[in-house]
Parts: sequence; C-alpha cells; structure tokens
Amino acid sequence: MMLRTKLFSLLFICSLAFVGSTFAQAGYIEATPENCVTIEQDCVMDVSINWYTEVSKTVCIRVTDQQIRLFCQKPNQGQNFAITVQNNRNIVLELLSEQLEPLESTEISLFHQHVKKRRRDIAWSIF
Amino acid sequence: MTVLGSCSLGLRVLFLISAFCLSPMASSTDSAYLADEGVSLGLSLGYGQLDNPVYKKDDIPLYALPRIEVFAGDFSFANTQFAWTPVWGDNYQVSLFTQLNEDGLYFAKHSAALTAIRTTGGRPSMTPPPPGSGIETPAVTKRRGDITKISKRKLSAMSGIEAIVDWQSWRFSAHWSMELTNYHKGLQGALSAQRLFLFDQHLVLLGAEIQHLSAGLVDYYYGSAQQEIRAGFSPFLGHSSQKYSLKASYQYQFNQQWQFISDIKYQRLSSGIADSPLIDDSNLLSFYAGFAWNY
Repeated sequence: MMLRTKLFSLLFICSLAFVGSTFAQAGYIEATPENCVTIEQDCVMDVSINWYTEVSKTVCIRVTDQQIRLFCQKPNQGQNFAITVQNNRNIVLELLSEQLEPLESTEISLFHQHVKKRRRDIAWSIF
Repeated sequence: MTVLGSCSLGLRVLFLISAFCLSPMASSTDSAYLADEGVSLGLSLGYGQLDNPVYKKDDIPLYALPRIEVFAGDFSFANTQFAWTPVWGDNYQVSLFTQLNEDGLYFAKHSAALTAIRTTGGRPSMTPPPPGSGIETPAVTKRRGDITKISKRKLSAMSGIEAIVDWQSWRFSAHWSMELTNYHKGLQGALSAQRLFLFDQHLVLLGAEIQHLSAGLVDYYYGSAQQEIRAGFSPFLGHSSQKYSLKASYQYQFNQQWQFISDIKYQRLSSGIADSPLIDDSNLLSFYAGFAWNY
C-alpha cells in the first residue's frame, strides 16, 4: 500500500514537471484579425501581431503573403506589431529563432465572399 | 375568451393569414431573389406548353429549357433579358431592361425562332384603314379565314424601365417599356405582386400581374386589315388592352445542382384583344414541370 502511494506520488510529480517544462518551452504567435473576408481577388488588410517565446532572446517573424518578408532583431515578446498584408490565399506568419529555426506559426484564413446580385425574378421562372 | 375566439370565421382566417404573412420565418426568402456574380448555366428537361391564343396556331411545346445568366456589376443577362440596374438598395432596385415581347411568340415559328426573327426589319402592311374606307370594328361575330395568309408578325423587342420593391416576402414591381425594333411602336406597362414562401428545400411563389398594351402593339399583332380581310378574316382594329395573369411556381432543391421546377400561369385577355378574329381563346393556361440541372 505504501509502495503504491509512493509510486503514485512519483508519477504525479513527474507529470507536473513534464507539463511545466512543456509550458515553459511553449511560445506563440497570433495575428488579429484571424480571418479575411473579401469580395476582391486579393485580401488587403492591416494586421496586428503578438508573439512570445523563451527559446531565444531575439527572434524573427516571417510573413508569407504575396512575397516572403522577414522581420528580425525582434524581442522574444512583442505586442501590436502592425503590418499590411496582401494575398489571394491564406497568409502564413511564423515565429523563428535567430538561426531561422521555426518555433511557432499561425495562418490568416482568407475567404472569398461571392457578391450577390438582385434578380428581376427567381431562377427558373418560366412564365 | 381569446381575441380569435370572439371573431367570426372570416376574421379568424384573415388573422391567421396576416400572422403567417408577417411572421419572422418569412424573412429569409430574400435569398431566392439573389444571384452570384458571374456566369450561371443550366438546362431543364420536362414537359409543358405555352398556350397560344391565336386561331389555328399550335400551343408552343416546352421540352428543354436552357438557362444562361450573366451577372456582372450592375449589368445582367438572363436568357433573352438584358438589364442595367444603376439604382438599388437593400429592398429596392430600378433597372433599365430589354426583352422580347411575348405576343410575337404566338406568331413565330416554334422552337428556335426567338433570336432569328427579331433581326429582320420592316413593318407588315397592316396600317389601320383610312377614315371612311368602310372598315369598322365588328360588334360580335368573328369571321375567320386562312391563318397562313395573314401578314407576317415579327417578334419585337421592348425596352424600358422597371422598379422593384421587396417587403418581407412580398415583391412589388412596375415596369413600362416601348418598342425597340420599330415594328409597331407600341408601349407596354405592367404592375405585379408576388409572394414567396420558402420551407427548407421547397419554394412556392404566388403572383398576380396586370399588363397594359397600347393600341399600336395590339393592332400590330391582333388587328385585321386588308391582307387579313383578303385571307377571309373579319376586320378588326386593335385597341389598348389588358392582360390579367395569375401565376404559381413550385421548386424543390435536391442539391446544389439538381432541382425540380414547375410553373403554371393563367392569363385572361381583355376584350380589346379577345374580340380579334385572330384570337381563338381569351383564357390561357400555360404550364411546365421538369428537372433542372445547374452548372
């Protein structure tokens, strides 16, 4: 009984340590807004980027829209970094280490809104 | 005692109809009047006929119907109807349009004659008789002759302005048009009201319309002058007239591409047309039912 309790305690502590280390390693990059709805071919909008990582003291942010743009020498934590993006498909934002190793990434989803036109009559109105 | 309980049966029915018509569930019907920008094609196979009121002219059979629609900006083309809509809002629109006149269809060679006929120019020799020529409008009797020997009536194109107002599930429209092809220089106007019902994949549309046709238009298609008299018809001078229509449509959407479609239309011709010796029936019933494929 005693041995089982000790095993449980050990397992619990190991789990906590694992979860703790996972969170400690975790970082994020997020963009606001997360979606772009457009009636045009391309989505063009201003985006605000927040990020955080403990892996590296300075980081790079790679933005892949119509071109690939790299913003380096950024601190490991940043807020409201504003850029303008333009693309006809999803836009990818990546958080990279100084050595350009991918740490985290996120996507801005693009949705094409079909323009609705008002009809003179319903479709397939025969007479 | 409830409000309904104290009312007569007629009032109760009216209450129920009003409540049904004004219910919020009907607010989504707007989508049936909307189309995607771009090209939309379709083909329907089924059976139906356009009732032809002209003496000894066959009803126009309907077996296969194409649907060619293009919506680009403020311009639209739907089969033979072309429209430009420079003024529009959430629940109204004003369009300039061009479309074929339906009266010409009754005299056209059936099937694929729609586009071929309108390109030929000229005006048939059907000018009204000069005063004192002795030709007068008959009072009651119609004398009929050989319909194949009457002067040719061409399919005309009308162009005009149309205003549409949508209110809940109702659509009210008014249009006025004049002839573009210069065959009869006629005018035409119409007032209509439609009520749309949408339940899941079912669509039901009920409508009523009153059309006004000018004397020139009526006389061109339904008048009987020298050539018709020589063919054996009694003389007739067309006057401005009305057509009264009731219409019902039912559609069922199986999926994005396939749907069942059906239309039925009852039309009554006023005496200004119905008294023509060329007219055999003043009550017309046209219908079509079939399956439609949308691309």
